[in-house]
Order: sequence, then structure tokens, then C-alpha cells
Amino acid sequence: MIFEASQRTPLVELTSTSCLIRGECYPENISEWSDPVLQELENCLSGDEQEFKVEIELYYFNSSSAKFLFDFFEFLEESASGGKAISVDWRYRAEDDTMQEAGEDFEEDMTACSYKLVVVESEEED
Amino acid sequence: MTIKSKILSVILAGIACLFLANIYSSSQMNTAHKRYSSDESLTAHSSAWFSNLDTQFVSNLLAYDPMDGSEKNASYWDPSLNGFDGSTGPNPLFAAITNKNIEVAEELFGRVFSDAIMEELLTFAIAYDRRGLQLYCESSLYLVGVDPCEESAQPDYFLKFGSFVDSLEDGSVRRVTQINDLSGGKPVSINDTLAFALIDENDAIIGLVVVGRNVIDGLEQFSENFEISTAILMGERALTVHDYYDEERPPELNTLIKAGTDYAAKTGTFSYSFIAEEQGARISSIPFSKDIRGSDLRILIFDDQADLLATLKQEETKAFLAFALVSLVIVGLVFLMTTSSFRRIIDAIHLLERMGQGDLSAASATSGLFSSNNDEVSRLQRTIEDYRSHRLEAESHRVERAKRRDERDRIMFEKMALLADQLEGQAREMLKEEIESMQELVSSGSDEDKERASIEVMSKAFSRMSDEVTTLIDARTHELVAAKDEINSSIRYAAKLQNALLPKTMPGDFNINVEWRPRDLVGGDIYFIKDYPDRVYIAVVDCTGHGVPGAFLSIIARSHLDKAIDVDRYQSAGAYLSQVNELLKETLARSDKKNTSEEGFDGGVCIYYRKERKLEFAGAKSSLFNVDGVDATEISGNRKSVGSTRMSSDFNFTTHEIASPRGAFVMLTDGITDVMSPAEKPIAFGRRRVLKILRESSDKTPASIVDNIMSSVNIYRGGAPFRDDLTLLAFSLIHDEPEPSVVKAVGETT
Repeated sequence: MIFEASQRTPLVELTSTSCLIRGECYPENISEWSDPVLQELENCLSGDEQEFKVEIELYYFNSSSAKFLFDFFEFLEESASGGKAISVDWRYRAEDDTMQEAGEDFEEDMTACSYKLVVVESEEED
Repeated sequence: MTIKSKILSVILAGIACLFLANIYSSSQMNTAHKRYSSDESLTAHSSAWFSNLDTQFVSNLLAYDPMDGSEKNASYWDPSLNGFDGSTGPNPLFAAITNKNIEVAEELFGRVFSDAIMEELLTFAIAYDRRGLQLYCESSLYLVGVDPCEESAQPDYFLKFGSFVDSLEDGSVRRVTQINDLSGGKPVSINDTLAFALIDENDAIIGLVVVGRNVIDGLEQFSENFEISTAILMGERALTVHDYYDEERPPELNTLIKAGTDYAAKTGTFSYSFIAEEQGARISSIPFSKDIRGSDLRILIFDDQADLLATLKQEETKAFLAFALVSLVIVGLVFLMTTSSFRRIIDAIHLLERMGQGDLSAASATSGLFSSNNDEVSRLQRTIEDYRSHRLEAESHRVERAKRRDERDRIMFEKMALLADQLEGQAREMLKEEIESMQELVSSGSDEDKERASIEVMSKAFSRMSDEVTTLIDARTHELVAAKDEINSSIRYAAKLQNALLPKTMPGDFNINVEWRPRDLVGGDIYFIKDYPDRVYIAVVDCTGHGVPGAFLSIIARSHLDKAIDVDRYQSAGAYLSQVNELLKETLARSDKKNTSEEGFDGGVCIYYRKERKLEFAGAKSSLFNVDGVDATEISGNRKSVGSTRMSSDFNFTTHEIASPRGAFVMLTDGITDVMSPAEKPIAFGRRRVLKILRESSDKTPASIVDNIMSSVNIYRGGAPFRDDLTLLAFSLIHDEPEPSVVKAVGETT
């Protein structure tokens, strides 16, 4: 299942074993966009697969999207507690301190998932 | 020239050519045939004549030859034998000749020849002595031409008697001898002769004998046998049988002889055969004998070919007539075929011409002689018929279209009349006039004119209606604009109110500079300054949401920031912010039982105690930046939002104490740090850039710090609009200023 990126929402690719989120996230009405995504995530995690790999590479999210991310991670935590091996890669550009800090914030709440901050090579920024 | 005449002329020309070619080839054939038949008749006549001559010679003359003749005769010419009495020699004839005893000799020769002459086996016999003295001469009673024994008769050999005698030394000689009448009374006598010498025991010629036979007899016989007439030509001189019998030559014969001699003169040959068409005869010329030249003596043979020629002529005429008839039939058929085809083509052309003029009535398909369903013209006719039916179909479509157009026009006029009825005064009159003139347009002129007029009318009608619709839309738009204006004006008023809630005066011992910019007219960002005698509260707050909802929340937040102040006691910054959190959570929980939303704020508060010269800071997801000289530092607050559902009411925010505050301090909302670069994968402006600017700014006054940061932010975002409300507040302490108690405005400075 793929949720195409828009100007205000990121690309979301969900399979039964993986989840990729990439882009910016600041929709006018967060729940309108996030509800179907969370619904699909629930479907994907309800399968029998033992492993689930999450990759997140965001460039910006507003404060209401932060709530969506909290809900998202909370859901992952619940699933991980239920026995699924879930790994989360929080990817950020080295020079992007905002996203680095955001990643660090979320890390504090993660216990059951294996959470990693991953620095990616910047393509064009300084 | 029409195509038909061209075709006919070509065919006529072709037939003429064929005719000429036929004539040419048949004439060639004729020539070849004539040449062949000439050769054949030449050979036939020659061999017949020569064999006739030879037969007579062998049977009548050769018998006297001393070598090849009969034994009895041979004995007469042998000097050692006496053939006259059957005793053995000596031969009395030789003796008589030697002794010139002419009477004896004559008597002896007579005994040899007289009987044969009497019996017409020989025409004449002459004997001479060595010198040419005639010893004996006897000729037949029935003579044609000159008598050889007459005084005036002169045989041709007499002219060269010596050489004639010499020629006999080796044996007998056969020759054609012409005997002329020196007196000119009788025609020349032409004879086949045998001459031989009398040779004595000493091998000397003592005399010679010439026996001859007139050939005219043979020629007559030959003519009768072959049903031909003949003439003898001696050089230029012609002799016929008639000449010998003193008869008048028939004129036809003279004409034929003339034709024959003319041919010889013309061609230079003397052995020929040709058909003289005028005379209706074949004329052949052969040498008189095998041993004589044709130019000297020859025979002209006239073979009557009149019947044959007539038959040939008739056949030729028949062939010509047949050819002409066949040609006539062919030309006639072609003429009929082309005429009928072209008549059909012309009919088709007429049909097309009529169609061109708009007459689509059917034409009876004409069929002509030899026409078939699959010939070119029939296909042309069928194609034209197809075309005609297509035209008919198109015509009916056109009629149908015109009908529909009229219907459409009618409806349009109806609607426009309705429209006119709704108008008033002059406009109504004008529209009515317009309708009338348009009606006139669409009902007159050709079909095309009508079509064009109809389209014009339609476009006019549409533009009329669209004018009306535009008017209507304009009215609606006007209403909408009015409504929008109303809303805008409400919001502008709200903005005014929100602006009024912002601090207007600043504490005198503070140098404060603020950039406050809601994304819309109103927003969730506010800043808050409270000046008390012993302390100053400064807060920069970013409430969740923006626009009107953000503004509402900002008012609630502001009231709690106000309410949480406890001026009677020392209040640490952390405690103060915790108090605001508690109050806000309480309020929001009351208003939203389900507590599903994330209302609240991020922000930082500073409290400055004047007496202690102590600055305290507490932050909810916010930092306080300090720049002092070249060093810029960031004091981070807690990573928790005030009022958030994830926040417990009794959370204690950390108090950061700055004992002797120096330099400039900066507080800001994420409207600054979240400004994004315009790249495809943008990066937020971030706090590091803020620190960098603070370090690198040469002028560290609050005003220039705000300016620097704002211009950096504006450059950074490129042309992109702000995504969020933003607030940037910079302040510094003016230590040289008098005590705050001196400041007139104490307490709320809103």
C-alpha cells in the first residue's frame, strides 16, 4: 500500500514487513491524513510476520504531526511488546539538527522497539 | 478530333498498312515465282528443242559420218574400199575426185545421197574438192528458203572456206549452217549440217562433204507439239515460218517479236524467259543450238499465257475484294463499338454535368452493342450511380440538417423573445428589433447563407444569454465578496484585539526588540511581558494551531500566564511554568472531556529578579539563547509541551539560573527554526543557524540581532511563504539604568 507524497504530506509505503515514511508532514487537518495511514499500519502489523522494519526520513513536521508520530510509535511499541521484532531507523541529514533532536525525543519513549538514529549523506545541502 | 475519330483513323491507317504490306509481299512472291517459272520454262524449252534437233541429226545426218555412221556409208568414204559395188578398193570416188572427173564423182555422190534426199531425210548434200570447187550438189524438192544448190546460194562457211576445211582435218563437224540468197529473193535457209573431209590414203584431204537438214521443219513440228509460235532471230533479224511460206506475219507475232527483242536489248541477255503481260504471253529466248551463241542465232518462243494471266488477275482481284470486305467489316464493327461506348460515356458525362448543376434525377443506364456488365463504361456508370446515391443521401442529410436548424432557430427565437419580455424599455425594443432582423436573415438566401446566418444568430443569442448569466454571476460574486469582506473585517478586528493583548511598553531597564508575525492576520504565537517592582516576567509562547483557533488558544494561554504569577513570593521560572501547565491542563480538560486533541503550547519563560540581578529560565520545547561577546550559548528547556495530554499536571519544569546575565538573550518560536529551504528535500533553519548568526553578528544589540536573524530567515526560505506563525524576541539588560522603582509604569503593561 502506497500513500503518495503531496506538498504537505510525506510518502508512506506500507507492506506486511516494512514501513517507509519520507518527506514533509504538515497537513491542514492531521487526522484526515493520518487516520487511514494508522489504519493500514494496524493491518500490516496484524500479520504473522516476525519482523517489521520501519524507516523514517522526515525533513519537517509541524506540532500537530508530532502527535501523529507519537501515536505511530506508540502503536509500534504495543506490537513490539506483543512479540514482533520491530526495528526503527530514524534517518536525518547531519546538518539537520531539528530532525536530529526530534529523533532523539522519540527515542526516549521507545523501549520495546529497536530504535536507531541513522545519519544519511546529504545530497545538496551544506 | 474526338477520341472516336482518332481510334477509327488509327485502325484505318493500320489496315492500309497491312494492305500495302500484303501487296508488297505478294509481289515479291510473284517475282520469285516468275523467276522460278522462267528458269523452268527456259530449261524445258531448251531441252525439248535441243533433243528435237539432236534426234533429227542423229537419225538423218549422223549416218553419213565416216567414223560414227553406218558401215555401208563409211565404206563410201574409205579410199581403200569400194562401197559402190561391194568390191575391195580402190575407191572410185577418190579416183574421180583426184582425176577431176566431175561427172563420175557427181554420179557416185548421187548414188549415196539421192534416195535420202528424195525421201526428205536430207534437205541437201554438197561435195567440194580441196579448193572449194563444187563437185556435187543435190537438194530436196520441198525447200523452205533459198535452194542451197542455186547459183545465188551462199553457205556461211564459204566465207572462210580455208579454215572450214582445216577444221575438218580431225574429223566430222556438226554445225548450223546458214545459207543466204545472194540475190535476196529467198529467205535464209538455216540447216543443221554434218561436214566431213574425204581423206586419201596419204592422209590428204581431197574433198569435203556437207549434208544438211533444214531446221524450219523441225521448228514447225516443235511449235505444233508445244502449241507455241516461234521466231528465229539472227542478230537483229527475225525470221518466222510465215516468211518461208510467203505469208503475211500476224501483227500479234510482230508485237511479240518486238517485245522479245526489246527485252534482250534492255537486259543485254539472249537467254531469257518472261511474261509479257500486255501480249498475254510468255516470251522465252534460247540459243538456236548448243554450239551457237544466242546473240548470233536464237529462237524466240511465244507461249500463250492469256488464260493463265486472266485467272491470276481474277484471283488477285478476288483476294483484294476479300481483303477490302474484311477491312470494311472490322472498321464497321469498331465504329459500332466505339460509337455505342462513346454514346454511353457521353450519357455519363451528361449525367455528371446535370449533377454538377444540382439535378440529381436518375438517368436510365444505357447499354450498347457489345456492352457487358463488367466493361469499363458499365463500371463508370455504376460508380456514377453510387456517387449519385451518395449525393442524394447527402442532399437528404442536408434537408434534415436544415430542418433541425430551423427547429433550433425557432427555439432560440422563442427563448430570446422570453428574454426580451423580461427586459424593460429601450433594451426590450432593441432586442425585439434584433430578433426580427435575425429572423429575416435565417429565412432568406441560399442554404449556405441560412446556415451562416443561423450560426451567427446562435452566437448572438449565446452572447446575449451569457451577458445575462454574467450579470447574474456578477451579482452573486458581489454577494460573496461582501461576505468575504465581512469575514476579513471580523478577522482584522480580531487581529486588532490580539495585537492589543501584546505588551506595548517595556521595562525601562530592558532593551527589548520583538518580531511578531502571525502567518495569517491572527495566530497562535504571543509574547508576554510583566513588569513588577522586583521582577520582570518575559514569555514567548507558541500555541498549537494557527489562525483563529491558534488565536483563541493564545488568549487562554495568556490568561494562565497572567494567573500563574505569584508576586508575593519568590517564584522560580520552573515553578511558574509548571503552574501554567497545571492551570492550562485543568482548563482544557474541562472544555474537552475526551481530551483527544493536543492543545497546549511550547514556549519559554524568563523571570528577572532585579535585586538579585538574577535571570531564571524555564522552557517547554524551547531554548534561551545567550550571546555574550563572541560566545553564544543555548539553554535548552524541557522536551515537553505545556498543556499536552502526554504531560502530567504535576510535571516540574526545570529552572535554569543565570547568575549575572550579560549580553543579549534571544527567545523564539519554531516559526523561526522550522523555516524550510526551498530544496526538494528541505532542511529546517534550525537552532544551530540561530547560534551561528548570534556568534557572527558584529552588533549584538537586540535590534540588530532580530534584524540579522530575520534577514537570514528570509534569504533561507527563498520565495516560499512562511508556514507558521513566528515570534522572535531579543533583550538585554541596561545595568546603568536607575532602579526599576523609578520606572513609572509598574504592573501590567498591556
